[in-house]
Amino acid sequence: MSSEETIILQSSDEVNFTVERSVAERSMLIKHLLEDLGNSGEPIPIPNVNEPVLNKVIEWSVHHKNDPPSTDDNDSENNRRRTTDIDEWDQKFMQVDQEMLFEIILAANYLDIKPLLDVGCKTVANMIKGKSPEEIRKTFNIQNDFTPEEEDQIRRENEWAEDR
Amino acid sequence: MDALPIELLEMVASGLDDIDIFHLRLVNRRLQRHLLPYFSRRYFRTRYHMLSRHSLENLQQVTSHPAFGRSLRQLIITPHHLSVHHRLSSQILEETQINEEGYKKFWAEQNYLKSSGFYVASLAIALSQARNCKTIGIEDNWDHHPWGLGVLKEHIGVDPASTFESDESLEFLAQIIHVVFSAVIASRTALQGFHFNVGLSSIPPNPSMLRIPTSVVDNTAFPSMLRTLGLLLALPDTDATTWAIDLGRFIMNFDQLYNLELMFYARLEPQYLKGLHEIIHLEKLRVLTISSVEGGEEELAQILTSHKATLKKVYLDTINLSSLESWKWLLEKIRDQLSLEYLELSDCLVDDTYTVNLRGQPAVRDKPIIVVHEGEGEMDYLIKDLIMQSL
Repeated sequence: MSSEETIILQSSDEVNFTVERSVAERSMLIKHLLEDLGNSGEPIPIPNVNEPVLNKVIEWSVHHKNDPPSTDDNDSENNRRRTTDIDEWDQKFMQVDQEMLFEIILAANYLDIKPLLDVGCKTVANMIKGKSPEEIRKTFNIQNDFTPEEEDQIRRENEWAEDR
Repeated sequence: MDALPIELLEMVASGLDDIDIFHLRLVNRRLQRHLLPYFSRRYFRTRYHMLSRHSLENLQQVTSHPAFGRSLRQLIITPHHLSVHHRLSSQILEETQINEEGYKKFWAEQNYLKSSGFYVASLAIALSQARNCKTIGIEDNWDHHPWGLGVLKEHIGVDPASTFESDESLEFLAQIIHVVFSAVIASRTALQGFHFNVGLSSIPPNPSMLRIPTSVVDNTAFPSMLRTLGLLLALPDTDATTWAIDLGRFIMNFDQLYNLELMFYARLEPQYLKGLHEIIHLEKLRVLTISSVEGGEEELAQILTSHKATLKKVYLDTINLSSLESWKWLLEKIRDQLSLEYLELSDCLVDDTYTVNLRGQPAVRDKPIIVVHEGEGEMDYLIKDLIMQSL
């Protein structure tokens, strides 16, 4: 029985993860790196991603290792992303604290894992939807630093963007 | 969240509805600042306005904003207006609740603003502030209301007219055309694209209305800058010669055109195309779209071959010819006389009964069924394998 080639990924805090090549290649960054330089068997350093986050990214990549390649059809800003179409497994996967959520998004962006980045951004968008500015501040623990005049100006600008 | 880099914040924002975007901008300064480029692109790249005080004053505010003004690339002026005919016909409709007093007040203001030069002056100011706005359309777009329409409706009780059912309405359309071109020249806008599509009306606008003010024609800078001209016109109600002269003269104002789109609401008959062919000679035309023509393979070939030196892309849409042989004849002319990089046939028919297609390809209406890229070989293949299929 032939076993798949494995790759060693090393987190920023120097923890090694051995994964199948197809799992590692969910990351376009790693896929291109392996195509260009080959697999020497040495750990590939992932300097921007620490152990717990890399662990989560690998968990996602293992689950999605057989997904078909995503079509790049959402570049147009006119095509509003559908935020309700996160599949059940991904929804559960994203039930983490906010710090971890944003770390996953940053890691997906750095590692160039577009489907994971999409799921992360959609999750954040869902946390914003339907909330007032004050509710958004509470959700993300953000301080309001606007003066009343600045707020008035932004409200006016928002009106220009509305269909009036 | 406010620590996300701008590009990721924009990805999050792209999944949000308008109201959520507005609320997110109000969260804190950093988010507002980081969302500004996205907000500007999403809402201010193309603007829809009408000739009313409220709408044009807003356009001036938008264009005077340092980010929004720079974002504006395309301005669409919609044909919404008030008229006596519209007011009287709105009174008759039971489901509408016209505010007579409000309607008369705004109708009077519309006439005052027209005669006072307000429209030209305020549009010219806006254009002079929006230096990246290089495309203007006079269009009725059902998907986009002009800014200010809702407020006007609140005052008059009904939607303003957007079609032309009386001479007064047609005069207003002529005024819109005059205002747009006058403002373009007054603001020294280097206009590169102009589109005209005002929808279907009882009294279809005639090409004779497409007139550039004399003062504009004298200034050669503006018309010779235009690269793209798109016209969607109704069925002509004048004789073919007059129609072709009016339309041809308007097109020839823009003698440096690169891209010409000629589309018609009803099928144009060959004599109109013939008249047009005799007038239009555009030395730099590279892309030509012709939509909705009835018969006339010879006239189509004439228009195409008279631009054979420059023409590279041709889009033929909703063209009905009498036989498959007529199509093959036209395509042979194209193959032998033009050096196209791209040819597209969409919804093209034989005798209104069959669609033309390539052997072995499923017939799907409203989708381009035949696309030919560069090369005589591909054209040979197309001509050989061209078939007609029942609709």
